Amino acid sequence: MIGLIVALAAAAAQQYQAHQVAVKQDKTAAQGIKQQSALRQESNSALQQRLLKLQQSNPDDAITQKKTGYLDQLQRARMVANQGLQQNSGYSDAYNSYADTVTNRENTSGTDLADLMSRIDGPTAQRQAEGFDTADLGTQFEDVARKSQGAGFLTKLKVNGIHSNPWLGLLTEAAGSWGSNYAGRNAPGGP
Amino acid sequence: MGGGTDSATKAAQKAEDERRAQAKAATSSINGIFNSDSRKKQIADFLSADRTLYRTDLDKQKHKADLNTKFAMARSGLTGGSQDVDANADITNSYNKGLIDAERRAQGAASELSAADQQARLNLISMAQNGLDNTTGQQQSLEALQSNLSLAKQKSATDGIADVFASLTDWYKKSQQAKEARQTTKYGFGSLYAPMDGNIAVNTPGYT
Repeated sequence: MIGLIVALAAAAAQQYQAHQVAVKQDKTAAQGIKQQSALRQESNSALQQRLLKLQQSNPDDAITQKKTGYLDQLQRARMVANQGLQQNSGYSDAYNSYADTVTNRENTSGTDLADLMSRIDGPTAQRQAEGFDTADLGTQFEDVARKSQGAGFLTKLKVNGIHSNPWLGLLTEAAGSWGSNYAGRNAPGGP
Repeated sequence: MGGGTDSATKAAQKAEDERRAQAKAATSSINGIFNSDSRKKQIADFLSADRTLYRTDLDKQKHKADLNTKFAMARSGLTGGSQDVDANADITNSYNKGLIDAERRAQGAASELSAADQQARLNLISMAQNGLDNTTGQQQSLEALQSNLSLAKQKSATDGIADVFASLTDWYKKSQQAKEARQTTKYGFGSLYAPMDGNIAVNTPGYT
């Protein structure tokens, strides 16, 4: 009877120990998964910031910047541009008046062209800037992916490192053997 | 017995549910941004600017062609004749072709801008889904960048239209050459060394 009790107790202890190992491994794995989730939140946060910026993205600033550059250039070169249309005291009033009209017309034409070109170039520049921001988001994702890989590797090491206590295992096994033998020897009709 | 052994499964399920929800929300946001009225307005304004640029260019060319033809006809004494009508019909024909070409170019440029947006949208969706999966998004981001930068290389948006009235230039040049030829011989009258072709109407100033 004693042998049977000892054998059963040893089996129960072994079972308990195996279960404890499984629980520890499960907890460690769950912790690792939560860590991965936290990293994903980091990615999601970067993504949300990118989307917010993209939502507010418009070509207005790029158009203004381009137009200012074009108008500055026109302004700097105005003297040269209008050289052939200068007032000349030796010419008739009609000539000078017409030259004046044409000068104003061409200056307006230059301004209109600057406006058109900036409205064409602005959206293109805006999309280039968006492309840079998207590439930047990719770099942030890459950074998180590296952290994720590192954390995943560590979790795997931790899970694989969780074993049952070898001394306790030896003891329960020895106790189990002894109990079985004892029970066998003392059984009715035994040796 | 010291707790259950399904907390990892539960955590994984929760994480996967969250990931799916985030990916779905991100996809919806990205689609919303690129299909928004604001984006459509940007492309419409780009198209309008392109259209105006080409139209202005074309109108200037036509104005020049009108003047050249007018003077060429006058020089040739063909003003008011059928040749005058034919030359102006050519201008109208070339102008109409130029208008269609300008419109095609403007719409083509707007389509390229729109296509770049759609490409950027798809790349960003793919990146968002992969990024939320904690896998690499780098390659795709570079592809997205490449797609946006290639937009800068497209020239169709700002290339001027070709000389639409080039076919009329020949007519104008010939009339100019004829004028120069007349100038050469006109004042040769009375000179001992200058050649005379005997055409009194051409060689005598004031003679009509």
